[in-house]
Amino acid sequence: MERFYPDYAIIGRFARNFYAPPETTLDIDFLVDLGDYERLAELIEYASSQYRVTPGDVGHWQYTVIVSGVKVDLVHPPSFKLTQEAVSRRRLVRIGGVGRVYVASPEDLAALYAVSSKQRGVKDVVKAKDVIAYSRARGDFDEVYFLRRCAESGVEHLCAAMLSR
Amino acid sequence: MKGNYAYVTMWDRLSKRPRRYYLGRREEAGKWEELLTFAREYRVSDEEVREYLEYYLDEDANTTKAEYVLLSLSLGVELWGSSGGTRAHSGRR
Repeated sequence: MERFYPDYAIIGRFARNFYAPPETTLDIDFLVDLGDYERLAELIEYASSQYRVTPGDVGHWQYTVIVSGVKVDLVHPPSFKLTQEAVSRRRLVRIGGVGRVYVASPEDLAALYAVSSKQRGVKDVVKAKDVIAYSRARGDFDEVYFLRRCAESGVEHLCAAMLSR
Repeated sequence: MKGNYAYVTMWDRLSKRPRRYYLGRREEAGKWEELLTFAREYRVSDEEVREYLEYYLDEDANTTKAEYVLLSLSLGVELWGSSGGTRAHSGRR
């Protein structure tokens, strides 16, 4: 992933588990810039030689690659902006036997769940509030940045409600 | 409601004053009401937070201990495989 998308950030439940009590998950989601078609085409060509990649052409906002039985998703939700600030706020975590990986900040992760709850409903509100509650307990949640990111995606009102204790 | 559109007035923490937010078309109001109510009312208890800090937190990294994160993935993949790979996600912890 570093080779094609050095600005990647892990999102979804695998990322959530770094900020809240772990829940079982069967996939790893990477937030990447899928709008760069040239780079995406190179990745599809490279990954297809070793793994099953779907879909097999550019122009989508989600791709799935099965790596050693683990589902790896590359995603870029249409209404969520990738910014340099989000890249700079990623957390570098060390995983024994795997190495170092970048995880989206708790604020960006909670904002992503707020966006996805418009389609997926209250279960993603729960995930967002879990990230917020446990990150606050660790002293690691910037509410102003969170609300700013939510405002960029048109869910500021939902995020403001999530901040109620 | 105003015409065919729904709005909600809430306290804006950034500007520190009330603000009216546009929600969408009238038919989406029910969905937003459910999301906003849940967002306000869902709580993580103090006991759950205490348990997390005590058992799961890697104090040096200030994140969940990586071994538990990896375990949650390997358990999920194993459960998915044993169920024939038909379920999208498994349950909690």
